Amino acid sequence: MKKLRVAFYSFTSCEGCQLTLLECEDRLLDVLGAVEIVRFREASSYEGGEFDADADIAFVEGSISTVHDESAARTVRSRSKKLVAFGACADIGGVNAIKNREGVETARERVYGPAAAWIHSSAARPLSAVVPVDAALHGCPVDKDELIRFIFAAAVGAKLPDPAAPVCFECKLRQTACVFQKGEVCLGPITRGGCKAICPAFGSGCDGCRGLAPDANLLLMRRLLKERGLDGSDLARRVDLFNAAALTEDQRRELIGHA
Amino acid sequence: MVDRVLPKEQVSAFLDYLRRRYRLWAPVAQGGGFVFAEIDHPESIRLDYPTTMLPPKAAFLPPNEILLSIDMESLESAPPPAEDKPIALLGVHPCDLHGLMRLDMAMREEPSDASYVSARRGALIIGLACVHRCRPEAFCDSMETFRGAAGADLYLTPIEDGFWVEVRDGAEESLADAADCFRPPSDRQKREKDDINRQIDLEFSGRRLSLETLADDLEKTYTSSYWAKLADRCFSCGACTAVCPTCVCFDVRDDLAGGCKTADRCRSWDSCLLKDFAAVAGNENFRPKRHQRLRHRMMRQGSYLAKRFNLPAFCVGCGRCPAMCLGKISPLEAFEFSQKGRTVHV
Repeated sequence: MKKLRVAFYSFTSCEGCQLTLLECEDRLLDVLGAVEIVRFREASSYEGGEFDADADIAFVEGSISTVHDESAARTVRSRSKKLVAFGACADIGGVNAIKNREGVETARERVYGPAAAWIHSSAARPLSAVVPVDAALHGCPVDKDELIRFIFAAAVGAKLPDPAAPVCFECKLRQTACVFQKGEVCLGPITRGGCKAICPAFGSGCDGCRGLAPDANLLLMRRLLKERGLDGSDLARRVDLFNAAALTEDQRRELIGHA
Repeated sequence: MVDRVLPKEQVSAFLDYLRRRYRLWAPVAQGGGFVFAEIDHPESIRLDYPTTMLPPKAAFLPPNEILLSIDMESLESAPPPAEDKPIALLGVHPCDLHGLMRLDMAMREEPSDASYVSARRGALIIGLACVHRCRPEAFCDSMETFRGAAGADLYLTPIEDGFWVEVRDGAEESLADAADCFRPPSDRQKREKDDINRQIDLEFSGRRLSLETLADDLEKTYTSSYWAKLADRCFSCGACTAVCPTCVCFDVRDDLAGGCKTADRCRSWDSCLLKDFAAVAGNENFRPKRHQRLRHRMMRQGSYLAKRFNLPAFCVGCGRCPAMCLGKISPLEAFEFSQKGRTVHV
């Protein structure tokens, strides 16, 4: 059987999701046994063109926030049979999209100062805003086990189901004491799981990096957070950490009002 | 039924016996609460625990397990190697004993569940009386599951000298090698144990339901607008089913491992509260709305499974789900709603 040709690319991101694959140390040989990696800049010394390979599956990390990102995403799309949004930035815009709320011009001047005029940047968007996407691996960073399962499934032509359970479900299975009940802010009840509730397990409330769970009860979340003293712009900041570009305007109003 | 006393000074010898012969599971402290766990160090056992995060169900039906491993070249499959010793569950409170009995009914109903039956084979269940209500959300009094003994091989009641032990008929032989640990009870110990049982009856006397008609009453609420209103407080997150001693639904999927050389047939707990639970081919969903899923769980617990297994209710009132639910939804309030205006107070 011919091995699946897999490529890894990155746009506006920290490249931590690619690093997550490299950190699957004891399973890397299994991965190489199952697929052929044709491009993976972060892991190779290849010095040729960056987007010049044909792949069966391209894993694309990062949001689209420059013209270069946008045209490169189109190139990758045209040279890959399947495209996977790889991690929160590509999946939902992620932390890069915080700037969208502040205003792209303001953000550019703050970041680049006098050189702002030299740099092009646009609002940070998920990959799916620019090209059709076949699947997504959620999270900041992606979950190692889910990633490996995804690659092995793809190698035999199968597709992993998208997890539907909110973070709370896995958190209970892990027998973590509820951080919300302890008084922390936690977005676990409305956030898509699949992360094994890793943040609450280490005592920190969920920040929502995997995006909204299907059918999330946003009004209830808002009411509970308000009882916790989190409202208005503070609530907006918390939600916008990962989901500034992920919610529809209706969802946003339900969750944080008009802040 | 034979009555014995396990004196305080014999407890550690009895634990040693259990660990030699069984894989011993018991409550231990974890993260500010308590959990049932396999015991390496007997001194970590906490029989003074109020209740646990997950029910002891997890000992026989783990949240995640591999049912079969399939070799992708030969396509031969085999279950994981069997454990060498059966499980002993120590310190199971009455609600959880009732939960384990219901779990047994569901998993042994033909065709019985091979993995469960294998994990359950030869297990020793040691119950532990509840003298106090574990948490305000518990409603074992309403569900009449606060009294134990049924479902346990041994049932312990704490007394001053140690534990009063009721030994189920037929369970003596599994204790033959531990017979030295037990003493015949004295009259004074008998009086003390009877006193404790009277205290238990007083402590759990807040019955708020008419169990005889619950299954029918609840079904009559099916079309009520009550469910949509209740669902305003529901995240549909599945935390309630995750902590439930009698929820038995699971999902099975095949995961490739070892560079696609093997496929593991994995089973994990599922939840009827989750959006994709009733999703089927053709992009259809039997229960697409949150209130339909919430109602379904309550109906399962209060009516459907009760009728199927000829029980007053499937829910045992352990209080885990209302304590975990951030919307503070309790089956008790749904059950009470169905009996509004004619609830029996005893």
